[in-house]
Amino acid sequence: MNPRANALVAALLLCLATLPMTASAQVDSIQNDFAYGVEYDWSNLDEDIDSLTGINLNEILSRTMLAASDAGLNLTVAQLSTGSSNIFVESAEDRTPTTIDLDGDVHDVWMRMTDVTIRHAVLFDSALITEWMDASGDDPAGFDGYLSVDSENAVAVDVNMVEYLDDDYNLYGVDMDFSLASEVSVEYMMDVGVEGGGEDFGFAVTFGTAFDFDVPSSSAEWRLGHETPVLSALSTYESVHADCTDDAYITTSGTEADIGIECGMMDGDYTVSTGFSVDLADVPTENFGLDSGLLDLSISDQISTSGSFETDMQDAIGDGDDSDDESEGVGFGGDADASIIIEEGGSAVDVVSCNCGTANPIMFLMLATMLAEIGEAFAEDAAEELGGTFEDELSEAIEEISEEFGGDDGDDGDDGMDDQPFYCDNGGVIASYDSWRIGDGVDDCGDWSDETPNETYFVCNDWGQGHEGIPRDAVNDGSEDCSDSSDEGVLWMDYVSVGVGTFYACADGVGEVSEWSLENGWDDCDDGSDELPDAEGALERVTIASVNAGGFNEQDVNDDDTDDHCYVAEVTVTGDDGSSSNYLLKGTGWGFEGTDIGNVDDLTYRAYSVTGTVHQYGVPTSGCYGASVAEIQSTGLVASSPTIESDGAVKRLISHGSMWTDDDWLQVSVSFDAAWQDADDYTLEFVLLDEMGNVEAASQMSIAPTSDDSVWSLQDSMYLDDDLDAGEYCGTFELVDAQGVTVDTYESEDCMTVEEMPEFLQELQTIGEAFGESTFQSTLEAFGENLEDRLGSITEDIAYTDANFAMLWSPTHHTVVGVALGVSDNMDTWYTLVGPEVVEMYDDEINYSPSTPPATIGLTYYIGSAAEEAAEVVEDAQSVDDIADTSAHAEGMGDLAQVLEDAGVDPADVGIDEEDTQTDGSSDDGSSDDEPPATAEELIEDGGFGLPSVSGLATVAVLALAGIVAAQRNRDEE
Amino acid sequence: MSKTSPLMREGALSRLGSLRRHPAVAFARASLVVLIALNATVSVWLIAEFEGQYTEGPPSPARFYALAGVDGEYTMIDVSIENSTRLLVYQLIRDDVGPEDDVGGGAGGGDDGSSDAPTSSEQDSVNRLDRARTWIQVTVGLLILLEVLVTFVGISGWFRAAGFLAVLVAFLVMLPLAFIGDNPNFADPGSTPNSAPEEAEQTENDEQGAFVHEETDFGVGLRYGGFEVSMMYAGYDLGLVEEDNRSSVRETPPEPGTKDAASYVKFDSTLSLRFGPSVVLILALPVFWLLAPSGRKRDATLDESE
Repeated sequence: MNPRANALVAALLLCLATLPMTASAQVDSIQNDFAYGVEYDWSNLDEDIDSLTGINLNEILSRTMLAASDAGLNLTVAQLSTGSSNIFVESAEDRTPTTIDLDGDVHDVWMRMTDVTIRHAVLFDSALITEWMDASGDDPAGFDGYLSVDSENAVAVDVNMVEYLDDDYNLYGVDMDFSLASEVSVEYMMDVGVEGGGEDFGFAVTFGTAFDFDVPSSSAEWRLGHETPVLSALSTYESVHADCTDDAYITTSGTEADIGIECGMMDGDYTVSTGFSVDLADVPTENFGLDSGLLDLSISDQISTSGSFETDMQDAIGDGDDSDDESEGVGFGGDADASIIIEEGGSAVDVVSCNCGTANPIMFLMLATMLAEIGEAFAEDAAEELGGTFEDELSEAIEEISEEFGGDDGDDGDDGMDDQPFYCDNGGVIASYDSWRIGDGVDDCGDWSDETPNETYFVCNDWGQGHEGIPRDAVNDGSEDCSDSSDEGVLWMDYVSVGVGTFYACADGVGEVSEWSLENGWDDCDDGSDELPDAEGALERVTIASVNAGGFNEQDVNDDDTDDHCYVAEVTVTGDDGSSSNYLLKGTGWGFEGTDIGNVDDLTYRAYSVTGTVHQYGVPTSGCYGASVAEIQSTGLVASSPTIESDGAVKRLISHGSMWTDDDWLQVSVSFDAAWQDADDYTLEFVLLDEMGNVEAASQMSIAPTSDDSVWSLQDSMYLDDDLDAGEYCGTFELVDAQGVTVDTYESEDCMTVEEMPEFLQELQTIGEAFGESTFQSTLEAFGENLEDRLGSITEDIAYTDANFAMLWSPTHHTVVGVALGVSDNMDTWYTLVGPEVVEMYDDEINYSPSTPPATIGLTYYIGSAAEEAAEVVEDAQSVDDIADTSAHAEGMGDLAQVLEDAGVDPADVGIDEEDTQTDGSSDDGSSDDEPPATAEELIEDGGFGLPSVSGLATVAVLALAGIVAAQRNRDEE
Repeated sequence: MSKTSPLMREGALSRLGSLRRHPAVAFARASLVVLIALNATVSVWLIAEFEGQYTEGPPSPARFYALAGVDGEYTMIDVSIENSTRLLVYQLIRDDVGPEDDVGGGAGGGDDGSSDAPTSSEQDSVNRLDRARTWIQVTVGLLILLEVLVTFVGISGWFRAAGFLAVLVAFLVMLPLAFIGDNPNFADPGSTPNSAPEEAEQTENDEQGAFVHEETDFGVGLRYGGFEVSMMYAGYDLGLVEEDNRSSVRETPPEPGTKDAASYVKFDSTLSLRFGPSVVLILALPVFWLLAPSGRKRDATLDESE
């Protein structure tokens, strides 16, 4: 054959070789398909932690148990986790021509489908069994019990996205279907028995809670106003800035691109349901004084709603006015970072490492917008369904709860104060814990309604014009505080009181001097006795009471050096014995003259009340200073001030007394009035009386004031040999003077209530006391020391010093084609821990090793058909049982049960029996025949000896039979 | 079709009558009676079931379900609350409203000492079921003893009938009364089962003050093995009415469609008490005594009661 013929044959063969490919392309128009995914097996968790950190959790647990055992405490801990987490991404291009309508314009497009399948489920079981006993005493003290945790959680997410593209990868629109099924449940089982002091107490309870949130179906359709080259721009430029605009455009400059997108609208519909359940089971009622049995309580709810939404995608992407205009754009153009294999046997694909989601970034933009819309719509629906017409009330209630939790001032105890808040006239509120603000002279309400006119504040004359009142100390202070100046020059009494001063009688019996006059270098006594050595001891000490008053008494108002008015303060002192005295104090221009009312010891009262008023008179001819009170009064009364009141004591009195119990101690506290001015000795007698008037406790406290300690208050503690019985107890305080005379009596306002302690608490108290006397404390200390010794030698061995999770964008596919987790060792050598095969790393700055990393974990990376098959296996799985390998978990539970058996613990005691370890995944609560039925339903289903139960039909049949027999007997007897 | 002659029929019946009094049959009857009686003692005795649902108003459709089983040792109670979020929201949004003459009064009054001495009454109430349990066990034991005596010693069947009546009284009268006495709040959704009667009364008083224009309905019906009580309660909850409008709502029901009208709350419930299947089986004992009477044929005076 000549060379020409050879060339023709060869050309023909080559042409024929293309035929099957063409035919194949015509049959299956899908091209550019790829898939990838990652799977993690949670049963590898312990090994992976060991591999990455060098820390063996089982070793730690084992050493912890040994440390406990050495200390005399039996401790067994076992745990098991099983499950898997999977994420698969499948992308396929369907080049079959189709059309899409954008605002009335029909465009020829094809479709790219991207499916994301996420399946995650983990089953976790853990059991802690412990036992300790101190048998050294007469009554052994100890405990035994277990706590087990059974947790399951699962998430199933399916996203199916269709992008409408043209041959230049211009994007026209996106359709998306999304579904989510998630569930979380956890169950705690506890069974604890404690004993000590001859008592034993057992408590078993099962608490479980579950939550689920499902989006069974939701779909959305996004149509742009105009096609956009955003995908190809991302693949071409290193920085792409995209904004929503009225008209689509693209401008480029070097490696940067600025894209205007007619973002269009997205609309869709959804169905959402969520629910929860809380279960409390096996609560032993007999421990709480109730009928012997068990209480199971279950609370649950389920809310479902469906609806539709529509949103402007401008809200999601942003417009040109946004501040993000200034932000740095993202782009995956420029040089590739590496080439990777995305299909078994396929050629290498250049990729750029990006921070762009695990799949197509358009998917995450749209999904985020969808979820935000669904979440908002669902929240509104739920609030409407729950609150209905009482939405405002619900908001208020939630606000109150928030305030309650956020504004706790610790005033949760019984302080005897009124729990009701104070409501101001203007609608304001003073909380009960701020009740001290009421009547304190400060305008807390803002309208003075928490104060008393003329008593705790001054009322301006311009009432109602914005200056309703001013503080009392602002009256006549030289500054005009009321807008009409009515607070200046006003007749106003500031204070009135009975003061007690300590004086020393001069040795010659003529007059007294104050304690400040003693030995001060001046002869204040005529005989100079106040300057004698130890004058305080040498002179007789006397306490003198005097009436004092303060208030407005400006005599020369116009400052012309002549008096315009004279003033007299009228003060009435009423003693607690009913005696009353009236005093007239002449104004001095800057105050009022005080008047001594005698030696305190000579007064017939200890407590007093006093009232006072300022009277304004004319000026007698002798002027205010020279005139007597009577002469001033003879000029005629011009005006009088409001009356003010005060009270006090001239000798020691009981101000307040209280008592309370503190464990086995009765604490008593007393405070006194007028203590500083009373140097006499007293005795305070306290008795605690029960409801029948019997004395339960008594105490005597001596009061011996010194110059350094006036004894303002007293405290005492009394040990109560026997606990107080339940009931109300009141205290009585008596103040007895040195002569044995009771001068004051006080009965506690707040009596003390002793609640009866429930029987189980009494038992626990006895057991607690027994534990306190046992070796438990030393056992715990020994355990701590052993733990330190055994765990101290464990050191970490970190396999990798750095890690980088990267998504891999293919500029030729215009999407993400894989993910990779890179790690570097302490030599700064990078490995692919999880990810596709790297054919070549283009970045010379990275010291990359294509070999297997020195420490691996249980993550498996799938590509191509393997990823598709793996996705197909899990795509129908929705629940924990479907997703997780329950048979493997059951096998693991068998191992766990063996660990418990080896530790001498019956697995059934912690709720694990053979059924839990069988591969059918069935479970059991671990109850045995000797135990009571766990629920009322079980009790009812329990059939006794197994005799057949009687149905209604059977009863009728038996009665009919009885009737036949009875009739027959009657006939027999006839 | 063949017809049986009267003579043949008479003979067959006579042989049947002799067979019913055969010692082996009597022994079998006594065994069966003992078995049924013992089976009743170890099975569930009383089943109480409460089902209630808010059918109108903010808490609807919150649903309560309580199931209690009582046997010789335990009282097991299962309580479930479904659609509980509505109930929680209802509790959140409603104000505490006391009786009319207590409006505006302090909340702290009237509670002094009320919880001081509940011990004796609580103790009594808890003991009621235990006493009923003891009575049932004693009467069942007595019935077994009498059956044995009737069968093997030949005492009068009337003693057995009296024992049977005692068992019936213990099961059918004492047990339900004791259960209700011990669990006065079993059918009260606002409080937990077994809570103190004093608390229940307090709650009841508060609720009476909070609801106006009340409607109630009450019905009792028989059901297999027990009886059933259906109850309906409805009214306007003043706790949901704004304070300013409460007095007018007290006087006249609010107009439909107004916000005050949304305070209408309705609760439908059913309480059933029935006896365990094994207890019901005891009712069949007289049938056995009829089928296989004790004593000789002519000892009619001894057997007629059976």
